[in-house]
Amino acid sequence: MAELSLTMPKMSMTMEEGTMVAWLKSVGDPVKSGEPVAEVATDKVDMEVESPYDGVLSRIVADIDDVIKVGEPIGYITSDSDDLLGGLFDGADSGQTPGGQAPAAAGPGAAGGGAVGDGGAASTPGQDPVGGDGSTASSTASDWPAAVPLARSIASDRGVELSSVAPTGPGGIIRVQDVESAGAVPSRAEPAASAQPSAPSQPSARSQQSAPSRAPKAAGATDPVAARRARTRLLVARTMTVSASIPQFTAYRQFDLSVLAGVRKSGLGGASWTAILVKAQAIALSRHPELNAVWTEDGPERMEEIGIALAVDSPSGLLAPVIRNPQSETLPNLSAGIAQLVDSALSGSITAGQLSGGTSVFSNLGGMGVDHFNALLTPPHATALSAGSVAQRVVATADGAFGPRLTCTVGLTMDHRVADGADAARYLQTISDLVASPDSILAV
Amino acid sequence: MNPLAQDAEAAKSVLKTMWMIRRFEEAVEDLYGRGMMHGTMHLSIGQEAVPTGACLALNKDDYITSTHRGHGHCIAKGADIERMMAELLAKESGYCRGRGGSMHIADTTTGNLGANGIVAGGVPIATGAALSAHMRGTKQVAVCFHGDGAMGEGAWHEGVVLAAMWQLPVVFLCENNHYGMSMASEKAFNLEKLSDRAKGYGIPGVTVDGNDVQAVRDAVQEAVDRARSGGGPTFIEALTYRWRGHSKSDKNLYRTREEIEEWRTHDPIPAFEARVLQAGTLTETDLEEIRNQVRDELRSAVQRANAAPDATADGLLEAVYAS
Amino acid sequence: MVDEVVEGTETKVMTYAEAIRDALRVAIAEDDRVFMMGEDVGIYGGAFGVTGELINEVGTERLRDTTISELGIVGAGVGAAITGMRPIVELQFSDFSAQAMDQIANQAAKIHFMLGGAVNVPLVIRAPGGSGTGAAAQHSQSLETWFVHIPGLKVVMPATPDDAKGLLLAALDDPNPVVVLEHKLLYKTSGDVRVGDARTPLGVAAIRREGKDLTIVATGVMVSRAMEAAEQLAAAGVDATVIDPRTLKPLDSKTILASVTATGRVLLVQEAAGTLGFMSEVAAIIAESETFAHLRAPVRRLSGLDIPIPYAPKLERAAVPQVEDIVAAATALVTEW
Repeated sequence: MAELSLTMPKMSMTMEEGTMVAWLKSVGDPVKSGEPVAEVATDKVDMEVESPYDGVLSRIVADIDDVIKVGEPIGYITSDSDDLLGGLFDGADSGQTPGGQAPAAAGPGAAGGGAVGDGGAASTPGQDPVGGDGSTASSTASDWPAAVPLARSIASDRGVELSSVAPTGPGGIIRVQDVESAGAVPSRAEPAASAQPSAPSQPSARSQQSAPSRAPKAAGATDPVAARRARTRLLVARTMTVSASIPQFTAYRQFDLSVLAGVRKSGLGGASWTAILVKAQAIALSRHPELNAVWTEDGPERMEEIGIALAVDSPSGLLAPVIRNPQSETLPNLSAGIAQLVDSALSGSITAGQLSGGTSVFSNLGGMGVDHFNALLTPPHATALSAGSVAQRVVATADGAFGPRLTCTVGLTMDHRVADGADAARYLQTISDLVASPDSILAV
Repeated sequence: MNPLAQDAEAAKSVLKTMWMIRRFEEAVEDLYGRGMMHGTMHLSIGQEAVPTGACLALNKDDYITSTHRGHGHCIAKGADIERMMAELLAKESGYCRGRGGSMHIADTTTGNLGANGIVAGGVPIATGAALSAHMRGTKQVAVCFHGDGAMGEGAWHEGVVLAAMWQLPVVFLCENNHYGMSMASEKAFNLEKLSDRAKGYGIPGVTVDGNDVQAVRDAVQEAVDRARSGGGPTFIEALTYRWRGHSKSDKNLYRTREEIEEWRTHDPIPAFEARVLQAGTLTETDLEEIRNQVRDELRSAVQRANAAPDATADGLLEAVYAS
Repeated sequence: MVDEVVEGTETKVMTYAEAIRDALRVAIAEDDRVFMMGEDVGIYGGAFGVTGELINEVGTERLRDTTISELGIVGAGVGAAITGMRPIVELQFSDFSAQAMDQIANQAAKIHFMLGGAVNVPLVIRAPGGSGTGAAAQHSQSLETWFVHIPGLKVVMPATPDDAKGLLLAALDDPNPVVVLEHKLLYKTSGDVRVGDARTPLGVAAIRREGKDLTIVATGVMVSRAMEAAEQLAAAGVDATVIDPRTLKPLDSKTILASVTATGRVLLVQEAAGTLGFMSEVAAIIAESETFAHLRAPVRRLSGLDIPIPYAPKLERAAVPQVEDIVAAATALVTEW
């Protein structure tokens, strides 16, 4: 009875690693050859990992959400089956270690391409170097007069300044005979300098192809937090690239929080400003249901539930756990719930379910000293709310006096396909009213 | 014709070939899973009796054309497993020096004209090989392995039409593994048996149990004898089943686990082993020895293939044209 | 090499079609491995009369009538070629290569490379192309670019009766698949053809005429139009070189570049539609070479319009370059620059 490894299988041509989604069997469960034992997410789809052997799942070494490289073990199965290739690639005697192999597998395409280019340059006329961009030098007509190539070479040979030659060709282009009739001019200009722009510039395709070498991914490969951070970075990049194609605008309004500040100290046990503002945001959304929407091809579609995705700066990157229907939660509960969510996000124990169901975003950089900023929409949300710092600021009041008030500038970003500027203004007015007379924020 | 299970040498050879195909593909699957093989590959696990039985009826210089699911055809026709493995591992010592991979292995020394990445691509080529044998008067026969999916291609039709018109020495051997990728052959073709189609081309057609190595050998032998004696082409449908997905990104959404399980109980290898034991031709010890021998040969081939130098890009441009 | 028919060589006047038949006769007689198959090539004599009564000389084994199965016969050609024969497949119209493209592009062209050099594919595919017969859009195309673009194929376009024979014999000697694109309008044209076993090597261009003012590169039926244009230009005092590449792949770019370096002006003439046509490649080769620095004028292409070939005679004529178009383009190049 041997313990055989169950490895992260390569399930598509492009797969290099997989994320553990679920274990379908527990340690001690019997498994049959061909039977699914786990689910993993690949770059293409979620797939089942089948047991290659009949036996018993004896150990699990990959936890849910772990990113495992192809070929690395995710668990072990004790089995009577023989491990056909067992031990072949473990020692130095195998010639090559699997570790050395796996990254190399990604390489051949690139390496081969380069080599083909080499040969092509040497022998065939069919070569096709890409991206010769030398001619796009957008110099002015004066230092790069238009001339046919032979006229340029003759001018260079004879030290003739092309700018002094009168063109007679179509489109004002200098012909060979124009240079010839211009005759020789004493070459006072240093030939090297004048030759340089006229030499047919050949920024070789090679130099372009090989230019920016990719930063090694090694860090991400070894440190799971860094790896997760790298994946999150890619996810944010994809989402925000989509966001950039949405017509969106931001409206700002400064709120006077003095009234709330009094109540907060007295009756709320110090509920966080985040909890207060998130609740105000959700109540406002419930009063403007047309804004609790997503944009579809058929127009805006209203969402039943309200979910505020709270932007959290976690060790594995920007996460946005969702607070469901905060408008119907008491402030102490909401405050505690938010604290718990943030903890989960910071400790990396957030689940996929806690990241779904959002209809708007709340992003607060006030704690980091930012006065005001515009948050970009997270598709398919129609709105996003950004909060700056809560601080004492000098404000002029209605009666013409001025003095310190506790204020916060909030930005409301909106999908212009879903609603207009005036809609944004009305929504902000609602929040302003809510914080000025905070009864409904304080209510259950 | 002695039944294969009653002849010790024949039985050993059959088992060795079938086990080698099975273990080779298991090793390939394992290596792919370890990230040591790239690209994709198509496994014929469960179908080993078809190439094994068919190639028993062929001489070394007879031709075969193969398919994208062709490891079994190569091995049964006598290819060197180390060079095959080296090709899949992208080594210079591979059959194609790393230029073809799993779908393009050929071995002209054993009459294997090559696997083919195009479904039905090999059908007219087999016809041409048979035409060539006929014109050169060599008495060679060509066996064209193809899947059920190939029977939807125009190339299949054109290749069979020409072979029938010229009565060429070719056997069209359909490995009906029940699915063309995800398309069930019984849904695709409005025929009770795919061999019913042969009549429309004016050639004999027969359907056999493709998991019965004896039945496959007998049917192919009859067809090859007919072809060699100038009787023209034959169509054979061998019913079998592909245990694995079409390729590695197959989620098996088009069939049930129960169906796969049911077919796994018709594994051609234990079935033949049981027959051999029953006939008293070989003992359980003999069988164990064959399995161990195959495993050791394979492990050694993998080890040597993997230690060989990677395919190099030197001379790639010169490799496009023969000189 | 203005005239590849060397003085003293025995020649005979033949049509382009007769020259091809002569090549088939020579090849079948001298090599047991050579045979040809195609639609209506036997008793019918070929759709354009290329095989004529050859069936009576070589018999039905070596000249095989096939069913109307372009994919099948090219595939059978591949199968025969990789098992020791030297098959020639005739496609009745080059347009029908679309039917056979899998066997041409995915099989014949790639087998040698894909199998690591273990197998050669000495297959010759003959196919007539071109417009001018009123056969309209599906029987008149100039598709050389399709084949030139596929690594593994060689492509020739004979423009004279002697080359029709010489290039076909050279193609049969070659261990690679060679596509021979003949031209329907040329079948009935006549010229001196070397007698017997006379090859025109692949990859060597012919300089049909030498002049100092500009270089005209032309393929297929455009070669004779360029020659006629050159005569008219000479009468007007413009001295043109005319180059016939003969083999499009591998291309004899040296001969072209040397001539363009000397004349400084180049006109590239093709019947095929211009966009990404073969002459675009020639233009690119010139642009990437040292010849670039010798250009007195922009490189000019004169191509078929980017349209399917129309039926009506006036429209068909307007679709592809004619002698007067070549004269006008050449004159503009020389006088404006």
